[in-house]
Amino acid sequence: MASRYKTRFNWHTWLETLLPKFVLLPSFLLAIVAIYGFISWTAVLSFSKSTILPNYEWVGWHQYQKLWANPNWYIALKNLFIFGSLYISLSCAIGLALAILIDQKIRLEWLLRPLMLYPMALSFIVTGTVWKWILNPGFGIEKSMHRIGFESFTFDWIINSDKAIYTLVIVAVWQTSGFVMAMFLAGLRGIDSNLTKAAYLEGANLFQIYWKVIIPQLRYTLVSVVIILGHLAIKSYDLVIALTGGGPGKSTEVPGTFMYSYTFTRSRMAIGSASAIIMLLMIAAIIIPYLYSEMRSREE
Amino acid sequence: MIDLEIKNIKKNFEKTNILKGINLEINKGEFIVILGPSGCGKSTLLRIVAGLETASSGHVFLTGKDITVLPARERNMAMVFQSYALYPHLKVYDNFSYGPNIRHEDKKQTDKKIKETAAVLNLEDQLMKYPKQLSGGQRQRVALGRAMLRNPSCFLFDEPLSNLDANLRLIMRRKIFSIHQDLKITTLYVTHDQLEAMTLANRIVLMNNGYVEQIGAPLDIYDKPKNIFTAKFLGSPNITLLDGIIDASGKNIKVINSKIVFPLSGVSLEAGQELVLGIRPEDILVSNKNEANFPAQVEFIEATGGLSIIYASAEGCDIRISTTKRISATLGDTLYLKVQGMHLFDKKTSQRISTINYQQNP
Ligand SMILES: Nc1ncnc2c1ncn2[C@@H]1O[C@H](COP(=O)(O)OP(=O)(O)O)[C@@H](O)[C@H]1O
Ligand SMILES: [Mg+2]
Repeated sequence: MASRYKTRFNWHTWLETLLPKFVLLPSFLLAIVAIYGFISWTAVLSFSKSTILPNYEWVGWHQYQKLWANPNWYIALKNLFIFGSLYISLSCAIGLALAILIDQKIRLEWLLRPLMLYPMALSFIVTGTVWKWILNPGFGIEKSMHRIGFESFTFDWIINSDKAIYTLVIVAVWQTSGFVMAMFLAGLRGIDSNLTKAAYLEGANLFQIYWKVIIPQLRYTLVSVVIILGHLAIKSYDLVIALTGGGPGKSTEVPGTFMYSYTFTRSRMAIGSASAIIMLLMIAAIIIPYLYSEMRSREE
Repeated sequence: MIDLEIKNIKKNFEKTNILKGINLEINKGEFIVILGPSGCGKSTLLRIVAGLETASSGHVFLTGKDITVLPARERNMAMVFQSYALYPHLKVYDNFSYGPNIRHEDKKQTDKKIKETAAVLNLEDQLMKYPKQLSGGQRQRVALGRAMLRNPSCFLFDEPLSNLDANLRLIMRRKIFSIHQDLKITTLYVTHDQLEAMTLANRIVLMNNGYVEQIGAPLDIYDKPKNIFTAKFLGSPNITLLDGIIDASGKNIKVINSKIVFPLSGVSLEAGQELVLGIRPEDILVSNKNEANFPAQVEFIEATGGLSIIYASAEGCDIRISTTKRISATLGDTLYLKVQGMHLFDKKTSQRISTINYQQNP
């Protein structure tokens, strides 16, 4: 009797369950090595005496102490703070404003939406290079204004060490506000349109409806946006390299460029690695609480 | 005194005519239920009254003033939505106070009114909760309370009970009824549920396909349906409809394709006139062979204790009977049925010609 119920070995189900795993295995292994392998290697290096080449002599927290005593690291952190806070707040403000305009059924939606999303499809290198030309006083905006007659017009932020950081903000905001808009637009579309009607019937005007009813409901979208932009800001490197190269002087040095130059050009690999680990921790500090709360709300 | 007047309202979406000329005069304090199958344009009409939608043509008057183009926020109307439309990020108390604060009403006064309203709706303990922490019935009451706080020129309800289960629906129906009894505020209530309409309305506006089919007090419409649609829409189970014709003598109504014959009384109709006979389920009695009009075979019985509903078939015609008597019959058994009254509709125009009552004129 019992043997009738014994499951026979079945090629079909075996293939069905295992084949996808086999197919995914190489890329999975590659990801393990390339991501977690190199993270671990970087962590090991940051506790070593490495200079131009890896050197595995253990020195404990020494390199971290040196990093936190390095004035260039503070410049990079300060720049990151200025860049990050302006970048995030401006992107959010512009993205939200655009989303609201579109949600108000401006008839140009079909035109505006792709136009705003194209920048996000470009790499930061392309954006940075294009904007480098646009902002270059020699042949960008300034030159064009001179040519059409505004001789006294100056816009030389990119070569001005007090202002160069703001050019980074302008370009990064240009690149991502379309994406932020799309996020907010999706959020707006998810709000019950009867809420607006209810508020309107209660006597609210459009501004009061947005300020008190609609925008508060975008708070979860806002958290997601801030986290995405925050981690983009912390790991920003390509845009800085393409646009200003960290200069003039060290005026646009950020942790990303600091890490690269210490690791690969200044032969201080261990300090570079330590800064990379600090960046990793900063990103983790943003993302882990987010994932945790996401998972908790999913369970609810 | 006419409070709200809807005059020849038409509405097109793109090229489709959704409302095809609606006329309605509502007296002050009246409870009007707009009833009709879904998609017939009830919500559209309500939104036009609220000012959330603009009519393609026609006018709306409130206490004699033309408000057709007045913005919704200046109409002082309170609306309750099927989805409740509570502000999810605000606690119940703040959901209540949002409107008064927007309108810069006195804070102390508002607080007092909120507490009174919460007491009326048994929501005192829920004021500090968020909408998502409430049950469906409680949310529904919050939506109702928000509308009451307003002291509005009129109440607009769009299927407010459709998301509740049967039991809560009954409770809330009574609540809405008693609130209307207290406040006597002109009310427009949209539903597709004929039971809600019958129990709540002073007058029912029965809509179909963008037209008003009939306006009247619930029992008047039930007793004197203007046409076949109206007769079919009110009443549960549905009215039985049979095709009939006046026989050569002009004295009898013959059911087509059968041997069933009823005497014509009260009206005289030409021989050969084609009719539709409408017989309410409670107008068919289970009787004995001698008195009965015709026999029928039982197909299905729903015995709910107080009331039994019998689905039967007589020579291919579906018959529905409701009775308070307990019938001990099973599938295929023959019942002898006696008809106490019926509506006669003109087959061509669907309009009611007359109603026969066999009890008074045996
Ligand atoms: N904004 C709109 N655009 C196009 N068609 C609409 C719109 N609103 C409603 N309709 C159509 O109008 C008809 C009536 O809708 P509605 O008034 O909501 O019906 P009801 O409330 O009686 O179910 C439906 O066929 C619906 O598809
Ligand atoms: Mg509707």
